[in-house]
Amino acid sequence: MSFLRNLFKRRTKEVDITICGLASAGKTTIVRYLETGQFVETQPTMGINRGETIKVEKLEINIFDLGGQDDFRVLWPEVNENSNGVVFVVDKHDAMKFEEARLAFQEIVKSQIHEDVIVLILLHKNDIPGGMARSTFIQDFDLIDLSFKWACYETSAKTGENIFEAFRWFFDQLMEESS
Amino acid sequence: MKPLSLCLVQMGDKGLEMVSSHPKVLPKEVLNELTYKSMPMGAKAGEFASSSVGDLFYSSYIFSLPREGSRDNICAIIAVFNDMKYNIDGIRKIFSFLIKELETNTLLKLDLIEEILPNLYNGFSKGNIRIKISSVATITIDFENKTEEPIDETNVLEDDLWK
Repeated sequence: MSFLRNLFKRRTKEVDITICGLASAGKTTIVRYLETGQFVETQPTMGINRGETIKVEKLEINIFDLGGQDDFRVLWPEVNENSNGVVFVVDKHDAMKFEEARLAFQEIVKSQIHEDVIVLILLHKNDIPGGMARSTFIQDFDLIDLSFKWACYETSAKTGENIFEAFRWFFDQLMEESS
Repeated sequence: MKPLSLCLVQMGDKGLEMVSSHPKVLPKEVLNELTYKSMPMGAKAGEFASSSVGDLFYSSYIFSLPREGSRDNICAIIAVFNDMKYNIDGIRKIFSFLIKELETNTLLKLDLIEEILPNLYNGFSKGNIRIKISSVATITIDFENKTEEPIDETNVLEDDLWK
């Protein structure tokens, strides 16, 4: 039995992922959707929420949901530098904070994460009509020149739109990277 | 059980911020430190914390504040004392009761809490609180009976100026 357990353990890889983005972008709502499969109302994150460990096939995924307010961003580098994957959430309707989001994202990819980290960018709150188009966003957010393995999806944690697809891609990359 | 001051903290766009304090007797440095200490990392609505800031002691109750058209915010109501000789559990009961009553009456609003801070402070000094929160709702809390739950007199119309 212990042999089987050891064998299983060896095949199961533990990875850490961080969920970043500005305040009210929808980070915690996405984490709660992943945990429960449904939309859950949330409150602002006080610093860091250590979410449930999600088991997907051969991965045990520890989720670190980071508070998006200015004052909490000093915590990001330490968590991000130990991370195997980063999910960056952007509210596609918050045009006023787009530049701030872009700068925060550039800071992460330039100085906080290793080169083999998988990056998933979510253009979130897609259930509300309008907002920035994905193609414009990719260009304006300087994603084209990104040297990381990355993908960008338009998502909604209210309707569940593209959440599965986005994280399927993300977890597949993490599995590939850790095998 | 007279506090030195009562404070109200909320999560703002940039981080935690002090909304109001009554009376305004605390130095800026203490208020700044209190702002961050009153809501520890990972704090959730319904939690209660007690600790110290310099030579002062405080107890804070964290609660969720409904907002229209947006997600709920997270706030803390804090009582600051000169020493530790106060009934911590009594403070917890008073704060949780007050917030529950405001919520029940759909009056859980930051400006309203800010408005009743002086009444609450005076009540702490007198040993009982009677706060009129609407034309039909009054919250009464008797501090002398510290081990019992506060008395709910919501909707009691006696002595009601609005009658």
